[in-house]
Amino acid sequence: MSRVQKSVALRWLCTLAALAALVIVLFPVYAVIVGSFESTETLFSGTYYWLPHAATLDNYRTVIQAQSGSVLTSLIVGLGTAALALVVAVPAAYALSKYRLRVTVILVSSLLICQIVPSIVLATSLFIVFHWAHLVNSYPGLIIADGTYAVPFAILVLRAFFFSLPNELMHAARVDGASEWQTFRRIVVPLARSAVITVAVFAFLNGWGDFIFALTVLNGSTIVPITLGIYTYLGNYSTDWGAVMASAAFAMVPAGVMLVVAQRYIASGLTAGSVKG
Amino acid sequence: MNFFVNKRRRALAAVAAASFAVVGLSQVAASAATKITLTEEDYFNTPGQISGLASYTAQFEAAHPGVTVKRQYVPFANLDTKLLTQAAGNDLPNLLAVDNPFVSTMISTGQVVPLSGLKGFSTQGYYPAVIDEGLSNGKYYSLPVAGANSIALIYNIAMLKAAHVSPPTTWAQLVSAAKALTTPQHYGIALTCEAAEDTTWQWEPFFWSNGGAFTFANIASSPGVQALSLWKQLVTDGSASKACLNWSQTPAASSQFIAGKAAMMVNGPWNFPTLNLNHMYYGKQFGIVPVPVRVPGQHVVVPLGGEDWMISKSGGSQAQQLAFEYIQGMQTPAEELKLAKAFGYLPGKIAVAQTYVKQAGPEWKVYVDQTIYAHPRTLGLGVKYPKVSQVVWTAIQAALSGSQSVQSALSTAQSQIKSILAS
Amino acid sequence: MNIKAQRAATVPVPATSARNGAGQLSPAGRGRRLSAWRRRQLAGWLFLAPAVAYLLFAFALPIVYNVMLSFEQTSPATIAQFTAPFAGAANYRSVFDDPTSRAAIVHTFVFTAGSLLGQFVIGFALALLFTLRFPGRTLARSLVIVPWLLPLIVTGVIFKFLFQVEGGAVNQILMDVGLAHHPIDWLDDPHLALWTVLIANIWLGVPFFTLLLYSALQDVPVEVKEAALMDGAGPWQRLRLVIVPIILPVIEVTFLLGFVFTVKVFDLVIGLTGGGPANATQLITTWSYNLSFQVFNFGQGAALNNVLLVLALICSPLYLLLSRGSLRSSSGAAR
Repeated sequence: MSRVQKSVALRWLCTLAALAALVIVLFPVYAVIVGSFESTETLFSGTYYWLPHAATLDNYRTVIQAQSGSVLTSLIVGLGTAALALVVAVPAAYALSKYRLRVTVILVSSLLICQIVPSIVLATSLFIVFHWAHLVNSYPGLIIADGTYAVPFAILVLRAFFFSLPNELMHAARVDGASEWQTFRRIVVPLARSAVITVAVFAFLNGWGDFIFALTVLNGSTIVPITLGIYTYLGNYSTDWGAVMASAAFAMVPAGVMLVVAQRYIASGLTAGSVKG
Repeated sequence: MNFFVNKRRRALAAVAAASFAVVGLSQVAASAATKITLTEEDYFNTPGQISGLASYTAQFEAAHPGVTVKRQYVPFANLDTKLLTQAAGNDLPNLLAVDNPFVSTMISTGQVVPLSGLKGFSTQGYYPAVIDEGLSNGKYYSLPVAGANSIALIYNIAMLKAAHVSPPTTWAQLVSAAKALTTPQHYGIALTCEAAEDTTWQWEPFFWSNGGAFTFANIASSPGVQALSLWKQLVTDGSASKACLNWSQTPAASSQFIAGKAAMMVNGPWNFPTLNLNHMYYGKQFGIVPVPVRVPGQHVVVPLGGEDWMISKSGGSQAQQLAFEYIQGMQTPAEELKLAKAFGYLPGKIAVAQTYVKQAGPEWKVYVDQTIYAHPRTLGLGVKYPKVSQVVWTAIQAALSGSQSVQSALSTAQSQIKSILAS
Repeated sequence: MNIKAQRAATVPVPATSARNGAGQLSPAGRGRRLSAWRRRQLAGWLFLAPAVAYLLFAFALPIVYNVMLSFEQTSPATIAQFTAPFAGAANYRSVFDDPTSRAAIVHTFVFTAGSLLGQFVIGFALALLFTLRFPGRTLARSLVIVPWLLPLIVTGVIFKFLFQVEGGAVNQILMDVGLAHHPIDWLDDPHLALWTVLIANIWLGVPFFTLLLYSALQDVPVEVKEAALMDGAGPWQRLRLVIVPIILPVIEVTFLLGFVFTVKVFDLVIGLTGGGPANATQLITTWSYNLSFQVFNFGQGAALNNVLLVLALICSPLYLLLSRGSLRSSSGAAR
């Protein structure tokens, strides 16, 4: 074999390896899509079918009627969570990386603790606090709660990113007479664009996929995110797994579009922040 | 689904309003001209349950101008958590429909009012188990939502015929029938042994009918050892799949039965609609017998399932009285029959249940007949029931998965139960 | 260090544009040089204020409440009151006396360490694969993150389907290929169930590791790789001696984030096994949920949660951050 032939063969070998990996990574997603065309009885029948066994659109009929509004609600919650995460985290991360503040060490370590606290622990006490603050059953309440997934993560990732920005930038701006806010707003934020988008996407996905807070903080049928919608089909006397699969598949679409659009920023934003000397 | 329900709901509301314009005049006078919203929480999600509840609510609202009942659905797995969280915030809904093993816990929060103190309360005519669920310190805190339910042995007629076995009534028959019914295509029986309450609930008729204590205090002595050895044998014989360790009662085990992968299952009447939907009808495709007993002559003692209405302290006495009227309206024989049918339950009153068998069909007979011996799970254990139940299902899982022998799993369980009972 | 050098080389470009941008700003405040330090402190605090307020509201209150609970003798009867009778360390004692709690702590260790290891090895291998040029690599790379779109409860159930003894896709494949001769009790064997849950979680975390490590590998300067090649280093040596040291900071951050995601895994286990069979897959999170919301012993549930927090703090790769100096505000702070 010539060298060229060899390298072509090698490349196709890599394709094959990647294909194998993707099959494993995507298989459960595939199984959800197949499952969304099955009845619950088929799903639990004890036989796995690689293709829909007795394909039916009933699940989608059930779900699209009932869950379309929930998808919109989830979009609002996801976007709200992203907005909250940015408003809170971008300036904080900037302060924690570029200002010599006494609280930095304490704050950064407590951010780590915050990330470890399981959501269910936060949920119960948040409900009591929210009840007192009249935030139960409102979009702001749910968004504040969902922010608990995103805010500490956002601060840590953005802070790491800001370390990679040279101090000379800010120094130069100050020499030129820019105020602290102007420096932040006109120089730092634009430079941090990809990290900001990354963090926003993660926050969005957190708000989008949250179930625990939606359950505890919401109290009526006015706001029903898609995750709660999915749970409509899980009951004591009947569980419609076909409909659960269809809701999950249906709900993947908008989030998938979001992820595709932002995809190229995610990786670059995350690592640009992580690489620091 | 919800679309159609809404449509149906509106139609029913109209019909109900029309009928109540004639019938309900006296009640209207009782609570006239007040604008009030009652909040209600439950986990009902089958089409029959949703529409049954909706049409009753429409009737009630029509009979009580100015009163609105706002329903909030909470997924089954999360209702207890949600209610406790709300109790912690002193923010319970006015009406709560709770799974009956949770009734004692709700009472102990001190956030619900005794119904026996409210005008018009009566315990007359109910099955003892149905009414005793809500009994605490001589006061009654609950009334059934749409009656009650329990479990029995459901079998596939064609499979039994093919294997030349008749429906088992004793454990020995169950073991041999299950063995005979096991083929490469299907198992003899689908058990439920997941890490959850429905496993304890499924095992209770075997244990209790065999002389086991309602508190499970004697779980490691012969009633328990025999009952758990029976299940263990079904698994070691290969008559029941070991996969039951991750099967829920509905839909996991029931789907095995419907798909023809199991010839028998122990399950409840809420499965009838799904069975019919899959072209399985009582007397033709499936039959029902009581849960088998160890020796002939033992009474079958089944646990009693279902949901109970409770009323919270939130809202003033007027809201509480209105909420009680809402519950009370469901307890008339006519409503009981209607709701039991919609929910797939048995009426909570003995006389009504007898009528029900005649009206709703012979598939209800076994369930109705055994209710007189039924036991409410929390009676005697109260708030300790969930703890004990967890110990029990853990022991069942330990024995069936083979991580412990039947005897040692039960001995561990018994010592844990002793300390729970002593606490 | 090479990264630093590379970044330094690119600095002038943004710096120049920034300077131009700043030049258009009004020169206000120039006369107040003396108070510059104080002004900057104030600005720093103002930038921090929303975050501090948020953390106090959304985290400090619940954590304090949880610590209080863990020292109280709680029951459903005390839930509506703000406090319950003081219990001393009784909740902690019963947590450590309870064999299931102790097992849950051990499971959590195994689960976390195993997940991180598996996610890293597979994620790194995939990341390396994606740095090679081959047909379809861009598509393959974008598809890797698709699993994030599934809600966790659905993921749990799907894995339950796939790992079923009979009719589960995994056993079906293994037996067709001839790797297994009889069905494997993935979820029903107490000795195996934890490993099955572990596999599911590794599957869940690999995309994250792949993504981060891949981008870090992208940042390794080509000259460095070429220089190593010139020196006659084999692929393994190049990886170990050249590439890994360069991307070490990313590896550390990836581990840290992977760690905080893994120690609080909850939904996946609930969906997959519910902690069974016979508590074989009970983790600290699932067991504490169980203590609080299945048997309503909120004090013990809270105590176990606090044990998780303390253990996590001790074992977390926190020291990595500390030792790297990024916790010190000085490393990158402006003068």
